[in-house]
Amino acid sequence: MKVLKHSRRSFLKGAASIGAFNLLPANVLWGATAPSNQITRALIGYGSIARSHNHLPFKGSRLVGLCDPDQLHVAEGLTEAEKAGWGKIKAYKDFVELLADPGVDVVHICTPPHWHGVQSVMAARAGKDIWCEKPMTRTVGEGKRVMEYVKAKGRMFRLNTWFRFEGGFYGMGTTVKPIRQVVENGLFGKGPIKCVFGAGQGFSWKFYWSGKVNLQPEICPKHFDWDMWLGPAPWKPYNKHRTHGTFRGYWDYDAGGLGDMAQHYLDPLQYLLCKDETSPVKIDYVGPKQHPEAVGRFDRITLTYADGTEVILDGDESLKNEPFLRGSNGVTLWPANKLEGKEINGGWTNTDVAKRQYFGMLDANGNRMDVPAILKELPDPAPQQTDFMDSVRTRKQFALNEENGFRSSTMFNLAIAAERLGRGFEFDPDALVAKNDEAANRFLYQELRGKWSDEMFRD
Amino acid sequence: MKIKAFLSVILAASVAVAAPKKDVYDIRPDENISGAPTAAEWQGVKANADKLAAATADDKLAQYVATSEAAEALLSKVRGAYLTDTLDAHVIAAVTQYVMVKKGASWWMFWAPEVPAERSIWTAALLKTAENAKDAYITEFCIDQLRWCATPCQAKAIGAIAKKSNDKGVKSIAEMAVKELTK
Repeated sequence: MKVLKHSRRSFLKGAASIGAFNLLPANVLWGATAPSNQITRALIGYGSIARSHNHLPFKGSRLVGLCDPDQLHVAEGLTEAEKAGWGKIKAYKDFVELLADPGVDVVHICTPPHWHGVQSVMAARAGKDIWCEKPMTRTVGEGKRVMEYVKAKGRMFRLNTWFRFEGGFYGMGTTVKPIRQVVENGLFGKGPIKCVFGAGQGFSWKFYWSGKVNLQPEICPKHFDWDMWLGPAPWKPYNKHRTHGTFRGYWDYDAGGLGDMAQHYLDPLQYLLCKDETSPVKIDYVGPKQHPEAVGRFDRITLTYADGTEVILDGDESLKNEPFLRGSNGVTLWPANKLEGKEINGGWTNTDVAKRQYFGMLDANGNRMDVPAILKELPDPAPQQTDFMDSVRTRKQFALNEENGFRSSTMFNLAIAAERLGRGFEFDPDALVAKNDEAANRFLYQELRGKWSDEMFRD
Repeated sequence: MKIKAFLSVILAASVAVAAPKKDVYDIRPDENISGAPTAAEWQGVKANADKLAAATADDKLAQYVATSEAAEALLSKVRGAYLTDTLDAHVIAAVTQYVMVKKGASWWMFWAPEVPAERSIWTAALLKTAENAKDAYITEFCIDQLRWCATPCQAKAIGAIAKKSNDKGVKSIAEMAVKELTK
């Protein structure tokens, strides 16, 4: 069986076969759909997101196991896996045991963000390909390490957000592709573009993802390994609100609604603005000073690129009547419904975007532009690699990978630092540090607890 | 009398049977013992937002770090078991960031100008409060602030606090703060 497995993995990854004697590959004996020919995956973490379409039910690879520090979640996961047709899968003691299993090809990291960096690095070290939940990492320092290490180890990496290549882009009511077409082909002029993300454009900042201001210690349930759940985060007494569905409200683990949604919103923006290779140079913050532990709300965070392009996160909806994009030539782009005076649907949607009206555009004089006619004349953007299983087989880098994912994650990390500082700062997009700003760099490059620091940074 | 006593026993037994034993795990995700609001809810109330803006204006923050006594007086408001007044907690975090923007703070500390007085006063007050606190939560809270504003020469003092403490939270945050200051 072990020899068969080595043969399967060699077949899948094109690596040289291991050992002097090889049996015939299983696909010759059993056909291409033999279980041993399928890419295998295991889930690290079985909270609510692990139940979603790209993790437990995903049909592109075979689910073989999972782990979670909460034994109740493990039990649920095993039951749901069997119901979903995966049979009896393995419950690993922890993710370290999971990573050590040579029978796992791809790991799905479904843990809170404070774990994403460490687990991505450890997975790469263990020879796994990685499907990681967003945001990619909690800090710039962790993101930089993941990007460099995953690349050095030759692993395939993708983030669990997809709007740069598919799906209705929230309030726009369309995929991102046509927006990229009009931007890439100069319809907004040669100068900087101003972009606004807020309720008025169909994007919610979900301030309900906020932490309690007085979290009193509670007795931790026996079925929950609290120390493992905390991992690289500082040790603090257990309180149920720190965990599971509400962890987003605490700076130690995530960053509220910004943490939840920023990479979903800002990654496609980075793509459509053609800025995958750089980062903002200036970050401005308007809003309340923040609680030391619990994530609060913000009024406005502005990320400015070197060419003057501005990305404004509109928390207090003071810019709700602004377009989504405004070009230096006065051309503007809006959610189509906005120009029709209709309500914007900013929620999750699997709506057939072909049936919906495209986004609207106004010229510099405020006249409606014929978007479908314009798009007919424009070339398509460069094709993207959108099948991660194909990436795993062919080793072709996925559309949203460790490099461009790091850049969009950095946008979010910069915004968070500004929120915690209560002020703006300047950033060097090449050196990846705040300029002359020790306080900002302490947020951008944070230490990890205990052994997880070593696991993150050793060779 | 005997009947009354008998009925009391029956009543007590009925109550004991009827009322399910409350497990400490029976806490809904949106409930906690103190019933505190979230930070966003608290900040979203206009009266709180106005108080917060006033209390964290630069001229107010400067007063807290004008003298050691003022800094220590503010830190004396830190409560154990995470029960610090919400406004006070915000103000303390704001002071930590305020002292970091005073002239002299820079990335490469060893050739930076002398650490400005405000930062010295504030970090010294945090250290003193951490060292003298009887409640480990207060020590941990202060070291959690030192993580963002202490200077490298304070790493030893933070390490000493961790060594003396048996508290997991104190040891954990102190270790992270020392790593930050000595990297």
